[in-house]
Amino acid sequence: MKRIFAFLVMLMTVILLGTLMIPALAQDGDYPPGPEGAGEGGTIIDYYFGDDPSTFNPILASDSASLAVTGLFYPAIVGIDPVTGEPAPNLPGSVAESWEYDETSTILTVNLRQDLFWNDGTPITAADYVYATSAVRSGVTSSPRTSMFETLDDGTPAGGKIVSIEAADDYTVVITFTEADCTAFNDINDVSLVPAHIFSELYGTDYALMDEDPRALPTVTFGQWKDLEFAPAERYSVIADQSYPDTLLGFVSPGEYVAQNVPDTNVAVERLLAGDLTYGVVPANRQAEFRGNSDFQVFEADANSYVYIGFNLADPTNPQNGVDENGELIDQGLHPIFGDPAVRIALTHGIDIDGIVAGVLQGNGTRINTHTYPLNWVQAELEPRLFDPALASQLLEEAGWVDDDDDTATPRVCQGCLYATEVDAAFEGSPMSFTLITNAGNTIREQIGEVADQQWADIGVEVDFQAIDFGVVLEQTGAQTFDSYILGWGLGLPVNPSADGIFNVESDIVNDGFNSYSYYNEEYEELIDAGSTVAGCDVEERRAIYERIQTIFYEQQPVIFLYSGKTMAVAQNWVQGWNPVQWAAAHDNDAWVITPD
Amino acid sequence: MTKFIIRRLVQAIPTFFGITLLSYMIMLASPSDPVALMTNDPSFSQQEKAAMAARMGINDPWPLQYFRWLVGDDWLRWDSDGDGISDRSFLIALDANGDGVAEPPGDRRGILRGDFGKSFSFREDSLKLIGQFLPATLELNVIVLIVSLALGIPIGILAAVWRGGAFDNGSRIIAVIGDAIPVFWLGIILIIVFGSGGQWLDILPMGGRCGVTRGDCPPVYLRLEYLVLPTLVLALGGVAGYSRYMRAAMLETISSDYVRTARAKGLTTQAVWFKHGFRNAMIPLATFLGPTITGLLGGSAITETIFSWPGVGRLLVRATTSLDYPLVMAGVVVGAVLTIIGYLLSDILYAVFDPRIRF
Amino acid sequence: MATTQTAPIVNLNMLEQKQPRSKSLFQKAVYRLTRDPLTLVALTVIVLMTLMSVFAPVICDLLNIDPFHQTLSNIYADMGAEGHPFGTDDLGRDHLARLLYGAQVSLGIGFGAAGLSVVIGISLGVITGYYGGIVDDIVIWFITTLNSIPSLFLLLIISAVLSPSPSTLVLVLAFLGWTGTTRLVRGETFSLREREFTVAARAIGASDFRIMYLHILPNVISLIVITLAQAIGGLILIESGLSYLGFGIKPPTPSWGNMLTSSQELIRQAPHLAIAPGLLIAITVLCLYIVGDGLRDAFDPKLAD
Repeated sequence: MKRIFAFLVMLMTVILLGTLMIPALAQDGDYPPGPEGAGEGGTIIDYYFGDDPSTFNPILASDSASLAVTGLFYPAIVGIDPVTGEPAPNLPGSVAESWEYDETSTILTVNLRQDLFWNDGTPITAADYVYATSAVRSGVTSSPRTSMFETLDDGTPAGGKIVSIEAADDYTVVITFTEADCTAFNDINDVSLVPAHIFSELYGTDYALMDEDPRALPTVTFGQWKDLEFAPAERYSVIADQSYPDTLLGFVSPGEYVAQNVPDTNVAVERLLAGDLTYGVVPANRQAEFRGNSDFQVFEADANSYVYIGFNLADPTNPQNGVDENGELIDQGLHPIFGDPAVRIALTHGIDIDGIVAGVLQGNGTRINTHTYPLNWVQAELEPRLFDPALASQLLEEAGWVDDDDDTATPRVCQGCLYATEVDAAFEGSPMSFTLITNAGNTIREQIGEVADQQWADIGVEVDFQAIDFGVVLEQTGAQTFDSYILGWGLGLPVNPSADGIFNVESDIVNDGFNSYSYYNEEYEELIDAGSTVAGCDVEERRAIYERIQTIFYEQQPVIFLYSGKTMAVAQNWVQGWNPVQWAAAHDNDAWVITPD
Repeated sequence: MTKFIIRRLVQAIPTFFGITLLSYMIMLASPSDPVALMTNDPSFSQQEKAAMAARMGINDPWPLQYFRWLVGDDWLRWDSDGDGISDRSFLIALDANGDGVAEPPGDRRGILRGDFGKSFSFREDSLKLIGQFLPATLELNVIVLIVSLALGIPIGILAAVWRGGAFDNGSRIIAVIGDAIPVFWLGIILIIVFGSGGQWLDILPMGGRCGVTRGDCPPVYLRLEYLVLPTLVLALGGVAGYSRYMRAAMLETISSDYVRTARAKGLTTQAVWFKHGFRNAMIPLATFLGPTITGLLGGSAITETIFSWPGVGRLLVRATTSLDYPLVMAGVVVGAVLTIIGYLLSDILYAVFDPRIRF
Repeated sequence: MATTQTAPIVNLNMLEQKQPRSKSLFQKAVYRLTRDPLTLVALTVIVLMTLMSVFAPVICDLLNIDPFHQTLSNIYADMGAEGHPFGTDDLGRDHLARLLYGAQVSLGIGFGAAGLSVVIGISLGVITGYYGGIVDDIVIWFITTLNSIPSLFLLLIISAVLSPSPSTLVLVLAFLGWTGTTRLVRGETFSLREREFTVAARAIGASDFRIMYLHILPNVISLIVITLAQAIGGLILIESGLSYLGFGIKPPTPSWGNMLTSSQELIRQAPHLAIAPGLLIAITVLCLYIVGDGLRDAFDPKLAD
């Protein structure tokens, strides 16, 4: 009896151990999967935090959540190589097969691939690009991309270089520029192609209708994914579109891609660490927890973005556009404090930027001194303005902001400051006090704000720092009624060192343009044109021009350039087939195999 | 009973007006400009914005604005001869912004007819949005209520029966601890514990409600694991509250005269505790229904945020941060109406259970 | 969740006959408290916390620490690091100093708002309970209105609109919190109003105010003290919840609530930063609840000695 019992126990133990082993055996270590793996590669669980995408229409999309979604379904006209960052033909996610300029370099002819179809079988044609750009050019939509054109449909100048976009035939797009443009591809890639046959059925040429239903679900798309399902405030999900021709393996491996909404980055990181999320981008203040963490595949790269403190250089009580309908400059007035370059330079010396990179970012970033970032092919040699409170105080005194009671607890007052001498003498005696805003929920920026608050207080500058809702921040910066803010620029590809679209005067449009600082510099305006019209787009000649631009920004300090961060993308260990490259960490997600254990 | 209900409903009317008035005045007191937010279209010039503001009646005296918000303006300015141009108006101006052209006919139906306007951020009807997110909150809170009652009441009774003993003191402390920990801290700790606490604990999802399955939300019993963590966080406070209440109520009932009499007459301890003590202590429990419903909508806001639960509390927090006035007002009014109903229900229940009360 | 209370039977020296060797309710309560070790311990903890927060500037001077001074080169210092007994936070500020000053803010808000709402509540409750009539109707209407709006929403909206500093927050919280006390006091006053001693006092010609102040008020005090203890605890929790949602006291002013919120991301890198404020809040609120319970037991006239 005992022996039978012992035998049974052994048998059960063996069976038990055996069943535990089966999952391990079943997990196929082979990669890549064969064609039978189409759609069987698991589910990619990603995240987005904060607000839901505001629209699924690429013509209207401007916030990152919306752009992430539209990027799944609508191709660009010319693709950017994710390894080099340069335009290249026949890339997945784009439609251009080749292109050429005419002799004057003002007419660009793009030839589209003829073998691409929307997933309802309709061919992708030039009409799709023309429809999208016409919608933008009409000016009646909320699209922010109007600045790519020279003028809108009704003749208002829009500050861009594109004169017209036409379809010469089904597969040829002809774009006419005002002059030879070495930065053409930044502009034309601003707008994705849309299925013109569907959109014209829905909206016709009454483009304003698009804003009535910005979250209309895309029905006909082109990409590795299709069939968007959106649960507000919870998640959106797409499934594999096997009709997509440009997959890496010949088919789309994962079956589904889901992006879950999480309230803030901390919960997202915790869920990544817990294995709840497959893949994600990690903010700078948590990157240390993933570096060397054997549970994750980690990819780090420099970002093509930077963070800065923006100043309002113009009169905040009277916001004006930079130029009027005739292209004439409009007087912007002067900001009582920031209108003086000496003050801006003093404030730069008054904040410990290196300390911020070392402390707040924990070293996950690089200090910058002008409009640039480590990946830029233009890097002017400039002396960093080091943290020197004594120097900052001295510069402020010389600029007419005096600490009249020898007490650093009370703010400096204007005694002969620029604003009092040039604009309004009654301003004499006013305290040096202003507001600094940033978007709440971004921990790093909130910390930078506290640092600025404290360090500028130490030199007698009173700062009212507020972290507020992002929508409200955008509202104030758009309306140009702000004093200063902490935000960042995500710069597009290919790399454009001219800062055109950010600092040029035509981008100073109240509630519409990105030049919310109201910056204007005559030499800079000329250099922008010079840089994009260099004969043959000679690299060294352009480099010299852009270095001069960077030096101008450094000398004038319209904003305080802080740092360019490092991005870190992580994927769980059980994701196979991930090979991230510099410019697109997740470009190959149609080839992933996800097998959570 | 019907007369009682009708009387209470009638009494609720001035309360309803009080609520709407209070909410509206707070909205008016806001320093940021709701009109500017509504005309988010960047292509509007300053004059166009001012004209639109005047059209919406921003320059009217505030009682008129409140009235308009309440009852709508589609009957205040209308087109009587069908030519597309409004030509009659009552109380509000035909040409509000002085540009010589009559304003378009009013198109708002007023909150009394359920028109709170379109949410600024979602660009959809506010009331509809609230309705979309409400079921998730109700689901969570009903389950929390059930769990809290199921655990809290027995604990409270036992603590009263064994008063002064280890169980009593122990449950007092543990129950109170549940009430004393900040909710969001507990949530984050639970996420860490259940997320990264090792393989044995790695069984619960950290957020969401319907999981990652496409299609409609599966029925509750198929996705219970998503409810565990949020319920745990919220029920802790509920258990604490109900157990302390039951303990105190039982103790009070036990020492009351009629129970002492019953005891003197020779009733067994068991009969005393359960026939008299328990049942009479349960009666006022019904009165908690009212405040519970009020707590329902707001109280779970933090938990919903942490666990990505798509409920009304989280919706309204975001609406408030982004100054989405139509949505906020809709949430406040809906919450208030539900509260009034809750108080009414609890009054009825109280009367039903307590034989001393007659109408 | 207020328990139903019936009026304690009070010995009032003025009008009742003196009975030999019987103690007043107050004396009985004190006696009972001294026999309740749990409540005593909790009370001591509360007193200690309050003292620490009041003497925060002194303590910080003694230990040479500063809650606002940032040292970006020394962030996340461990506990026991040089010059920083509790380590430093994400911007290199001394953690202990911030905890002490944070105590000032959090406890200040708790005590202040609770105290203010009790004062309002008592005054309004006694007045409406005593006079009744239309005054009562209006106050009840206002109370029902205020109670019908989910208080979190109201709090959020007001915070979003006013962006409160600690003192404004106290006012706002008091404005939202006086209704419970008022209801209680009003109920008590109703029953006390018809008692013999009140009728007698009126018959003698005592003024309304005198009656309210001398007769009715002492009888409701015991009720009030109990609600106060719980209210303070609740308010401290509300403050921390507000900070999490982004509406509370804004940095760099430290409060336990916003310290707890910003420490969420540090739980792995610097756990001592996350644990301390959370622990302090939990312990303080816990002790307040225990004290409240203990007081209720102590003042309950029906519990046998």
